[in-house]
Amino acid sequence: MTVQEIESKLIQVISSITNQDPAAITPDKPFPDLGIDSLGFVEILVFIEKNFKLQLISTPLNKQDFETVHSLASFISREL
Amino acid sequence: MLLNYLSVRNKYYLNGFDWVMGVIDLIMRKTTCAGNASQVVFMLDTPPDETAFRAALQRFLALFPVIGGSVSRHYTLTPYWKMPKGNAAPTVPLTVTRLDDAAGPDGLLAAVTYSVNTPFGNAHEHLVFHLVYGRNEQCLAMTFDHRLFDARGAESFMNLFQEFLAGGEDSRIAENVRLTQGFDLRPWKPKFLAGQAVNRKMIALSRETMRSLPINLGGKPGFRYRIVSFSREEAEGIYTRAYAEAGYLMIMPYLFARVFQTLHGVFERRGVPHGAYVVPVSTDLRQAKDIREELFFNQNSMFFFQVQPGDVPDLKRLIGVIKEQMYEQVQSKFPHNLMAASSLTRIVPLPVLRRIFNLPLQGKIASFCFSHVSKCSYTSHDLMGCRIVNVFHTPRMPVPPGIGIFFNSFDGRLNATISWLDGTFTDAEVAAIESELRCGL
Repeated sequence: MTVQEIESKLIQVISSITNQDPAAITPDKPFPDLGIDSLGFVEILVFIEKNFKLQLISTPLNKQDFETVHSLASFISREL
Repeated sequence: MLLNYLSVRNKYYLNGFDWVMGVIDLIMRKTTCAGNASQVVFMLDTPPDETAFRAALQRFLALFPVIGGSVSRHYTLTPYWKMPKGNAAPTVPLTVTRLDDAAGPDGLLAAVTYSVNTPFGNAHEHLVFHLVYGRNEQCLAMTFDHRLFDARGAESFMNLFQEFLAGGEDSRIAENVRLTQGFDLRPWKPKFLAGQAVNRKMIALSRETMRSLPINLGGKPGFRYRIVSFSREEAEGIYTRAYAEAGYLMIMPYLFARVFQTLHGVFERRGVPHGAYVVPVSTDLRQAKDIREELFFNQNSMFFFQVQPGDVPDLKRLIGVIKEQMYEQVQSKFPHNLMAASSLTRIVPLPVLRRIFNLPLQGKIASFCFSHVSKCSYTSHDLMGCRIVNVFHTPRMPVPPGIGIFFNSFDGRLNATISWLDGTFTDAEVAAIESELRCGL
């Protein structure tokens, strides 16, 4: 799966969590600017486990890997 | 379907969580000086004009007759919010307090503490505004009945008021406010399945003795508060530490863990017998793009965390336990199940439900309460032409346990409100909690 395809899936789930139009969610926007808080972030992690079979909650959750849709998609792509 | 359609046209049927708020209100009215109310406080840099405020407020509130409603029951036994006859404008009191020099440095907090501990005047009163003028500071406080608003709804309502003041057309302001909601009795099967899942969780929580502090309910006590405010710079530092200790965006688990450690110290010093901590944490279930669609009533549910005292002293371990339980509950959709399951309780009269509430945990509902409203729904920096210095909440926490820490943020600032039923903590314990939060976060 390409980074763009992962981004597209992540944008869909963020859109449903934050009740925003998917078009308003750009891959380089930091998660806090998209209205994602701790709970929203955990919802994204649950989605990642369900769709990509990666359990990330007990990992260090470094900012550089989890800051934006793009960085998270790149991280998932590397881990797959 | 016909029944649902007819009801949706003219009534707002309460959801299960509204009913739970109603039970807590009944318990609190029976045991403390007032019901399940809370308060949002806007600290202002200059004194607002009382006459102009009174006039604007009256015009604004006239758009929302729902404020003067009361709980009633449909012949199907589903509770609903009964609108006032003829959709009459609500009567909402406005109190004005002018503090003199004798009030001291905590005079303003004492004034808002008094206002939130004052019971509503009658069954149709769910909102009271307060203007407090101090020597060097002033505030506007809105005391609200938790059956009418949750915390985010209350902030959003004030935001709507600001939009109204800024020149919003009367008809447009209330345009999308949803005041009807169906029975939500069907489909019944998912609700029973949700009930089964919730029941299993509650039984698991009740297997172990719950750690709790004794509550003295003699003389129907009131709540007391201490506000621990952090500047933008201090808040940034806290978030950076949260990211380092708990992971990116894990602010809530970090704050929760630090609060746990602080209150654990109080429990240990008191020599509270061993057992596990059980802590409910509220979570917002709103789905609508426009907050006005879900402005009134309760759109919340709960997480329940159970933590062993042995897991508390090690911060990394405690954060891990909290994150793991949060993840598990999001995965199993526990907050949604709780909301669905609670809708089944609506058939039970509140006095009976009050007794049922006490069964699984033998009257101990929680060790303490924790809440974190991550982003303030009040988006403006002004109110009535005055600059807002800070916004904080003074909630009357559910009793039992009658103690809790409520975090909110405004304009980059972070506030922790320590809320306790008078007599539950000593003054020395509150000073220690405040100091540990200030230094430990």
